Amino acid sequence: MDLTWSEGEEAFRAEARAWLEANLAAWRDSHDGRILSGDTAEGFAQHRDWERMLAADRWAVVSWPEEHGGRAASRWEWLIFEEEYYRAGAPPRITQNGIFLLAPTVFEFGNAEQRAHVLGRMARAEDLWCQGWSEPNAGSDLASLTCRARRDDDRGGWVLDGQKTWTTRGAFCTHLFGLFRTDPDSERHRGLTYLLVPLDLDGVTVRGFGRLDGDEGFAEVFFDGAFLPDDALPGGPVLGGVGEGWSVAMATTSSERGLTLRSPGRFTATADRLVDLYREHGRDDPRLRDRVVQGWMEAEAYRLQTLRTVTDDAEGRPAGARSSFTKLWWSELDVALHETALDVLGPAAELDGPWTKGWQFALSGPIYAGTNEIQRNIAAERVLGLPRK
Amino acid sequence: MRFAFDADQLALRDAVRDLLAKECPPEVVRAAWPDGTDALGARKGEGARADAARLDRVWIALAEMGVLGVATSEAHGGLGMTPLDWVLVAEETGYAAVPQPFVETALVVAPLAAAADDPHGVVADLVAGNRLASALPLGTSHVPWGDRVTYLVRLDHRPGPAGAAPARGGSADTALGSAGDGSAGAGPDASSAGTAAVVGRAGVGSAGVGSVGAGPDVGSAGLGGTWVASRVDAGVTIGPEGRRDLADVLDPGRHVVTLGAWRSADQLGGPGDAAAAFDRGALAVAAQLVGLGRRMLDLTVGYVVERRQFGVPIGSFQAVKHHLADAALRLEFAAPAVYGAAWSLACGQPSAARDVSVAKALASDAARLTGRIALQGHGAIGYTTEYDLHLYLKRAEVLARSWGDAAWHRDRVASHLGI
Repeated sequence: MDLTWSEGEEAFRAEARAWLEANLAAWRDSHDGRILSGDTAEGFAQHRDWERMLAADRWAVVSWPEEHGGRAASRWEWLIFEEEYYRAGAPPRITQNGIFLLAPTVFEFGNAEQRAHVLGRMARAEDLWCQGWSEPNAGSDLASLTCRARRDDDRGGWVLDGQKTWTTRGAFCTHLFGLFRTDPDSERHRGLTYLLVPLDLDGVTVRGFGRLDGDEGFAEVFFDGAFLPDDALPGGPVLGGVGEGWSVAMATTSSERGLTLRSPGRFTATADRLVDLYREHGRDDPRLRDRVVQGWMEAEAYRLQTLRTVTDDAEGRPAGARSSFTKLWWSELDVALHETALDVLGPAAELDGPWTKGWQFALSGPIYAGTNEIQRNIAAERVLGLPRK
Repeated sequence: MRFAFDADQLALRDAVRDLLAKECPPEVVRAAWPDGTDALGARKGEGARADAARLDRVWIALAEMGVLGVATSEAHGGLGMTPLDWVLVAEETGYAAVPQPFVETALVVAPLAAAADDPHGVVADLVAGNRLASALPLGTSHVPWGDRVTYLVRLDHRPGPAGAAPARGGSADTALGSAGDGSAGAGPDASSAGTAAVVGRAGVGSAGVGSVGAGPDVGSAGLGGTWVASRVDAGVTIGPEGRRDLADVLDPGRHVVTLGAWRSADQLGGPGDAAAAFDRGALAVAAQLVGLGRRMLDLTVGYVVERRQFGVPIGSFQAVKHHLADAALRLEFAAPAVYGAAWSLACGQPSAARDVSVAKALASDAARLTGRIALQGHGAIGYTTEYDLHLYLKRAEVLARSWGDAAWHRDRVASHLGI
């Protein structure tokens, strides 16, 4: 066991820290210090600028190969970057569903043309991707989805019908990756295909709607006989094989539940800010202090558990279904940290501010990326070995 | 960066695990309960109650493996290993609920006495398994295995700025007298303690006798203050014949004896030695709690898969699944905190004390939650003394509150965070 960073890793940290400090200030200044939520139309444009600044200096996707805009950073360096990113107070990534959820699937299942086209444009925030999985009647029970893609050989493409919903930032994104039923006679997990869909096709309608936090961060996406041509993007719009969508999609769910989407750095930074908040407010309340400490300790435990998980993965002991524990931990921790912060703030928590906003977002954590009820089922059945029925 | 144990550390863990699976099954843990337990419902039937001689075999086997000297320097006959080497061993002793003061003897007192150049000539016997030691951290007066230990050490935390500590080797009487930790407080003195068993080798004298005073010094264990280790030169116990019966204690297998009065003699080592001894104890107990949690989870998973109601295994019900997932979740994140603290302690990191407290707080809460969930998962069968669960559940509850409970350790973390 060695929980120290190498000289090279420390140098990487220093470089990231310096870049973030300088460029975050520059980005804020370029918008007169008035940065809006990335889940609004105006804010999205601001955050797209930020993503392009990151990409220009190869900080957008540090763990990717250099040919796709990354630094070929190790998993350790990626964790360090994430720590520095959130420590610096940099904003949530509007590109996250692309770079953290779609990209691992493209690396694994995409053909050479798709990789060359999709990844670079994604990294440079030229194409902005949203996830098209949930439907009005297919949430936790994703396999019951009914969006259809009918093959049209005469025109050379797919005809899309149906509706996706709760699509994060769908109103502002340019592309959607999603699951469609390509075999009309199929049921459940069979007969599904993973498609890459430009949202400017005729017959596609995107309607944004308000999330609990008031931002237009959700969208519903309607497909009314929209034609998706085979040359919609280089390498074609099918990711993996036709009819293999379920297994292709499951590759991203482990990224989503695991540490990739929500690395420990995000929560250790929040926990440190909570400690500062408590100190600054001068509250001398043992019960409140106890909760502050508990949140800080749980963030620290997530950091340590991640070091263990990454080591295990590198040495051929993948986390597998244990990634469900990770999702349970960070999502419930995030709620606890923010609830505690609101209690430190007291009546002032009613006013809008970063903690109030953060609390509203934290509430979504136990729901998205597979509800925590689903995660507990997975943990019980696949880690502990309890019977499914 | 590498967060994993090396092959030698895992091999030692496996060896101890195999040994304890063979030598320390539940019936041996049960055999440590005082006579009379049977009448109150210890499991009947073939093989249900082990020969008491098997208790001694557990300790002898650990001694023969060298495990009792794992934390003691080689110069004093130990293996000279670090917390990183023994933390998994401690976890296994928790999993098996070893019915002897393993943490106190092997991981706290023997290395502490060795670091102090073994002033009482006990280390060889402790490492060889010939005598048992115990420790009393944070002002507690309850001595685990107090009917058998013959070397007893207090580990007290004195509030105040660091550096105000008495010099190493200074008079313990002076140190105790000036620190006002309750040792001079009201309470039964030696002459009024009645039919007490004697702890230690010497008889009870009349001078410098301490007694139970203030409780654990919660709130004072932060950055400031000093740790002091002192040998209990002689002590008297309270309670019938120095031994509690089943009705009096939560976990009769621990043979807790209450020290009613004592005389602290020599200080053992310097403040740094005492602080390290406390952190080793807290870390080791945290590891035992993770082991106990794993044991209770294993028992419960085994049970809910077999137990059928409404025509199906009760483990197929979502309510049961979610309870067990919660227990597994808490253990999943407590364990790395324990291992990380072992590394910090082994390397002498500045954050070591804080990291030990994170580990102990998380492990205490995880084990306690797991115990409740395990009991609920078992239903009424778990609420019997015939079934084994209660052995582990009670041990976990006691250990969760030993060596500083979760609140005490959160308090220490808070101090380190400057709040």
